[in-house]
Amino acid sequence: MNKLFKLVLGSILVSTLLTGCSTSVERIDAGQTVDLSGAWNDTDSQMVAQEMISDVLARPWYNNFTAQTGKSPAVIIGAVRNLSHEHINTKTFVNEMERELINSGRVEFVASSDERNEIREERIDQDLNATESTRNAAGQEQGADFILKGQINTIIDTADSDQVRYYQVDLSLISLADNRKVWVGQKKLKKLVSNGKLRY
Amino acid sequence: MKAVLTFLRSRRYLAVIGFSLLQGCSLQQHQLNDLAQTLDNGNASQVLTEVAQREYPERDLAQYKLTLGLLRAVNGDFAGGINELQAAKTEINQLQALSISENIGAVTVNETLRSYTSTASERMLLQQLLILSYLMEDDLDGARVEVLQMQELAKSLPDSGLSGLVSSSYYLGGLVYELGDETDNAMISYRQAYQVMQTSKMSIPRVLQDSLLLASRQLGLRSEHDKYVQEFGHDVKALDKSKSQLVLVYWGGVVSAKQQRYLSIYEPSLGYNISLALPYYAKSYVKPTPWRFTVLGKTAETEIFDDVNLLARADLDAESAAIYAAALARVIIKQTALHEVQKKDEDGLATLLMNITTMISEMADVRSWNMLPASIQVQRLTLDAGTYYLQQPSLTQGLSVTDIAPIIPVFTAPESVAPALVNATVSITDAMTDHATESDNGLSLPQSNVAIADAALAHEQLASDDNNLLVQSVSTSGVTEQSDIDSNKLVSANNAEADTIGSDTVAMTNIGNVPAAVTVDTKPLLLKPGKTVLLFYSSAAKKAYTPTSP
Repeated sequence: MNKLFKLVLGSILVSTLLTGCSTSVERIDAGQTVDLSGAWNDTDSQMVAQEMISDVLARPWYNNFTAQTGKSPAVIIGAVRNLSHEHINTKTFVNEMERELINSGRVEFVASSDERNEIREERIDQDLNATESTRNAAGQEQGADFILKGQINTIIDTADSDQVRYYQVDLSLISLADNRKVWVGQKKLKKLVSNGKLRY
Repeated sequence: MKAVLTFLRSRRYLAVIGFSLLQGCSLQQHQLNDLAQTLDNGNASQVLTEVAQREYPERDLAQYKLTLGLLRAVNGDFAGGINELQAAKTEINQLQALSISENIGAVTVNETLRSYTSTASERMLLQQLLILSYLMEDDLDGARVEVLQMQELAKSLPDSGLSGLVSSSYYLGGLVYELGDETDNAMISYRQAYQVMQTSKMSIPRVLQDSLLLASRQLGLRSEHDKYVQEFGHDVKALDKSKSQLVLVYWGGVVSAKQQRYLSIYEPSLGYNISLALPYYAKSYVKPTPWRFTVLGKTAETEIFDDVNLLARADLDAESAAIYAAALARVIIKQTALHEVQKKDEDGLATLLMNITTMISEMADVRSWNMLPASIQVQRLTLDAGTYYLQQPSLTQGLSVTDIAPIIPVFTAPESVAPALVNATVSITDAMTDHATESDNGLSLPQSNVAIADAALAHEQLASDDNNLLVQSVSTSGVTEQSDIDSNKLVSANNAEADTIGSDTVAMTNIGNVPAAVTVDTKPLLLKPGKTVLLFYSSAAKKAYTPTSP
């Protein structure tokens, strides 16, 4: 009986340890908030993008422009610099904004500098290889009316194993015609991160 | 026989096997240390291959990633290096919490049972290597992130001692800010580098002096600027926007490895040994000396920012209190265990085996980021904007920055082929040449352009007298403002004093029989007006690197 008890106990212990070592995967909703390290994550990116979009479309620059020109503004994405303490992929955040703005139907987006170069190469290729009826001519590109630029900054305050992380995202929309800043958006995030002092 | 069977039944042999495995880990560490020392021979690619194939215990993950990251970077794979180094940083950050099991292991068996968490200086150098790697990948924002992280890390450094005081990391931080036109932030970093060097009682390199003077002048910090002028005994002029800056960061040699001091004394009254192992660094090591390289045919030398051997010793000093405390606890626990075994041991075999086990298991933690350089040095040169080329070091010559496009001749008529040259000019501050000393990697210096020109001319005269003399001007430049060169000035190539290079030297040669096909074997280095370009040289690979698109 004693031997059997030891065997069972040993098996439970071993299996518990092995379970602890195995990889587990669980599918979760893309909108669900999961904070692991306290660093900038997908939730922050989505939150900032959504707030910026709702703000940019609600401001007077849009109505002023459409009233003056009678057309939707064409916007190009400039550099969004990461000046924070973390390596943040600003492209996901910018893409999120671009998608929401295009889908709103109120703003047109012009391809970025890198994308334009690729498209121009394709157009040169078309000149050589495509039939005349399907060929797209050069010099027909739409120029942007505004450029969206910005930066992400952080302030970190650390004491022992606790850390306050403050993120500030600043975006500005600048008129390409006269360099006027027609909109400035700002979003702030603050996180308190407490790291464990002990581990197994 | 009976005693052996009793021993086997007691399963104490498992402990012996376990300790033997630990001994294997220690052996592996010593092999890694030996491998690190071969880096001095410039065979980083070979060492990378060997390290990449090695297996390592999970607790050494951070050390392994640091080593692999460094080797990838010095071999020119900066993106791969960043991946490994970031993985190392993540691991190190996760290991900052105190481990219960590892502490128990450290005070009962030995220190190698702890996970490798790196020292303060190693963490600062990790940041530096990441800064360099991001700059090499032409990712200024990425480098800036690492600078900010380094500054956060610096806040957690020990209050006293030299541990973690890596002045070159701060200097590179200043450079990153400077590249991003953030002079105010650059000034803070240069000040930090200056303060670190003052704490370390190192003489302030001219490179840092000039950066402090220039940044304080640009920011209008009048009183601070005057203080530096008084202290350094000179001032600097504002940078000429038509010129370029070349910043050379030199990682030279290999830091010395930790060693083990093992003590085991047989105590007759107890009937067993008292064993103790502690890590140490050899007191003597090769002190860093300025490294020499050639710019436009003249010798320049780097300035020493960090003696990494000194930092490694300071790190060990900073950790010594904790190491000694754990060692003392270990001695007491092991002796108590031996005493308990001895009490129940009739034939003395168990005591003997336990004694051997405690002796074998006692070992010092000699792990370190042992492939770091022995010294970090910097030089900053002002050059005329233009196209330059790097001549990588070879067995016969050291690193050379030249404005001569490297040419590989195709020998259609071997007897008539001579090296083809274009106009080459040389100039460098006299101070640099006056202070040139023997390089620490033992490379001989390259031939000057004029020497090559002479050789070419001699060859030409032998080959043919019918060819026309031509001079082709590519670029003429001076390293400093004091010694700019007239690009159109021609000097006879058979001038007997041509080898005595002056600031107005021009090389000329006959290129009438230049080979039909030529190959430029290195990517040209384009220095744009007002721009600064970084050059990273590691003696471990004996190769210099520039950013992907400077």
